[in-house]
Amino acid sequence: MNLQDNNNFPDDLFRQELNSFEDVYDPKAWEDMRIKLEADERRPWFLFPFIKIKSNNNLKTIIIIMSILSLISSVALLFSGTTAIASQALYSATSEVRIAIVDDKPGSTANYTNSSVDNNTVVNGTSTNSSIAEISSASANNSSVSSVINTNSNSSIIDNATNHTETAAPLEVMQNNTGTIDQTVVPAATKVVDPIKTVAGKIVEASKDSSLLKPVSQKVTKAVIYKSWVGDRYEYVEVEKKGSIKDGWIGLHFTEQYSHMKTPWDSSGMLKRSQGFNVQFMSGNRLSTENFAGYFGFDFGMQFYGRTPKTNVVLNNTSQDSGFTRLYSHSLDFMVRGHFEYNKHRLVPYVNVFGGPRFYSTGQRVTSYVPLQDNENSMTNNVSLTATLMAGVGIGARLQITPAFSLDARYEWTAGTKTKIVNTSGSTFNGLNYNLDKREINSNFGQLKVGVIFNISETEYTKKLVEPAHYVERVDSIVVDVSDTGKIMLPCNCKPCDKTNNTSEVHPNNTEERIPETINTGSNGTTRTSSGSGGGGSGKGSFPGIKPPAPRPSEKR
Amino acid sequence: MDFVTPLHNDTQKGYISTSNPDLEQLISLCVANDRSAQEQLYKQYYGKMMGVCRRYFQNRDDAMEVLNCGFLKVYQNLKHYEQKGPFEAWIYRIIYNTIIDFIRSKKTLAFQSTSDLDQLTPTASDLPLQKLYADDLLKLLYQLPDATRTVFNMFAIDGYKHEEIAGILNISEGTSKWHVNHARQQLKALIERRILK
Repeated sequence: MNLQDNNNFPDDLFRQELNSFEDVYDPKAWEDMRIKLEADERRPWFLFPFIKIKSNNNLKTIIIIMSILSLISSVALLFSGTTAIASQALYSATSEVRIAIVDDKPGSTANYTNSSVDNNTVVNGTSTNSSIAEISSASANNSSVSSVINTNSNSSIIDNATNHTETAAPLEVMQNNTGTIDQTVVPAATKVVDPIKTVAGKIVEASKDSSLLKPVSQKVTKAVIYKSWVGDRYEYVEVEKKGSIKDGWIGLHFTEQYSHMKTPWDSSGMLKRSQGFNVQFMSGNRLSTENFAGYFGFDFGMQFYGRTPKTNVVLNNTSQDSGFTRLYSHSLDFMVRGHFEYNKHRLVPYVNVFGGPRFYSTGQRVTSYVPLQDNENSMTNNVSLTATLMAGVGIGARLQITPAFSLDARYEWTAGTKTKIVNTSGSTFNGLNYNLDKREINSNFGQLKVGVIFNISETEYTKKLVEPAHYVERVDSIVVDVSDTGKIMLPCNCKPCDKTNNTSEVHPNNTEERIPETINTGSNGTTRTSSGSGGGGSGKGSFPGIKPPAPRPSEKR
Repeated sequence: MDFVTPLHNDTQKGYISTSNPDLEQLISLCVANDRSAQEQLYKQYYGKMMGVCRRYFQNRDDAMEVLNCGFLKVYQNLKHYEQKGPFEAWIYRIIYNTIIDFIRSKKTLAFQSTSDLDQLTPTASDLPLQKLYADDLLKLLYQLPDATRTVFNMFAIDGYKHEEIAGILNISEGTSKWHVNHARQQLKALIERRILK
């Protein structure tokens, strides 16, 4: 058999044999399948809606993972708790209290007793759950027993409003959040102390002047609420440019000028029809009337009246080059302009009036036919310059395409004082100069101007109140020395630069809220909070020109 | 992702129409989670479907795992079976899609060092061509690289076109052709070697 004869030989062979190939049934396969089915049925739909369990081992793995996650979550919940904030109190929270009774003798085993609030019994000794009162009374009868109070913030409330008397344990050790013991107290007499109310309503009383105990320092971490005054918050919204132009505009126009005078001597038609350009610089609206606007400004225009044919001349240079000379005329005008428009719609009709001088100028130009050398130049002489005072009116309309761009078209009529201009077509060349033919005109023209107008006003914004002024509460923690009701240890942030002194003492009775300094910008009523600089310790004075803080409304309770 | 599965006519000969009342009852029992019915259905289609899986996976455990995953999908979706067309084709399509998903998830189609013909070792049971049976052909097939075997399976046995293979396996059409050609050459050489022996 020659296999090379048939290219598809393997395909056919394998297709014929394997397409109908059936594997022998394996009972183990159904066992696996059954396990899969049972695992699929046991799968809680709300926990594993999309997880495909491929084997029993995977199911076990998932169960183990979920168990670990549940355990971690439970522990995290147990130790984190929630912060209870008393809305009217300056400081309001401590936490679970765990009291352990410790044998005072060195090397003895501690017997920890948890309060009814704390369910985490500490091992390393006989653990019992009892109320704090029981512990206290028990402690009072046994001077050799000491207690350890472990406080953890953010889970209970210190009620500072009421006081209770209690005979405290003979020896107490306060433990802070980190679990380290801060201070050891010695027995002292019974006295009124600050109660510590737990979440469950239990009251733990730390004796200060007990006959058995005399606490030197007992630090408890409490939550404190700072209330900061935040001024009005504004949002600045861009005002759409429509209607009148606020700050000013620039107009660029092409000018087609027609003569309204009878000038039969103008054989070349230089006055009948001429072209030029005009640039306008206009102010913003000066009228307060709605839908009507008035602008004032000035413009600069130039008209070109053409030139005479070339007249050949021989240049007076060493090469006696051939050249030519000709006359050309133009006019310049500087007008003061008033512009009044009705701008209710996008198509803005207007009228304008203007007046100012116009200068007619005629020059003679002599230049060479051949390219000029570096040291050669063409020569231009002004042969005639006359001026006239002109005035005129115009009507037109501008179409506002965008807030900053308009198309403009207008027609203007002008009139002016009489003056003489050079009739270029009537002037003749005498071999050296032109014999000028001067004619008198009164500048009665009509001008069609087509161009564009650019609104150069600044973008205008309106102030929109987003959020009115209010107090913002911020929760922080402080360390309270419960052995001394006259002071509270605060994490000091009043001197941020002084890092050596991290705490300062304030009196708890002074329960005014700590409000950051405010600097009134004075522009829009918004306030800016200072970060504490300029406080007493920095030695730097206030920034020049800043006004003292604005009066603040009283807090609404 | 579902793939259209072209089936050969001879494959369809064995289809059981759902007009069969026994099958309809079996399906309804399976939907009701009757374990014995599920076992019966499993046994009924095990041979055929496992044969398909074994063509693609040299490792029998892999083939069984894929088969069972496919059957799990079958059981989970039996209630959605609309009884349009042969039931076996419906199962076949699910199993086949599971195979393709498994291959793609394992990324077995990455180019591997293709074994040269000299390195291919003949199987223990050397039989003449006329006595080559399915098991022997499978053993020859297993000597192909995974990628080549998969493409050859899809092209030569399952009837896919190169364009379809390229789309399913996310390879180029030229690569698919190369694999088929490579498989043919190697299989011819292996078969010739057996015959000569």
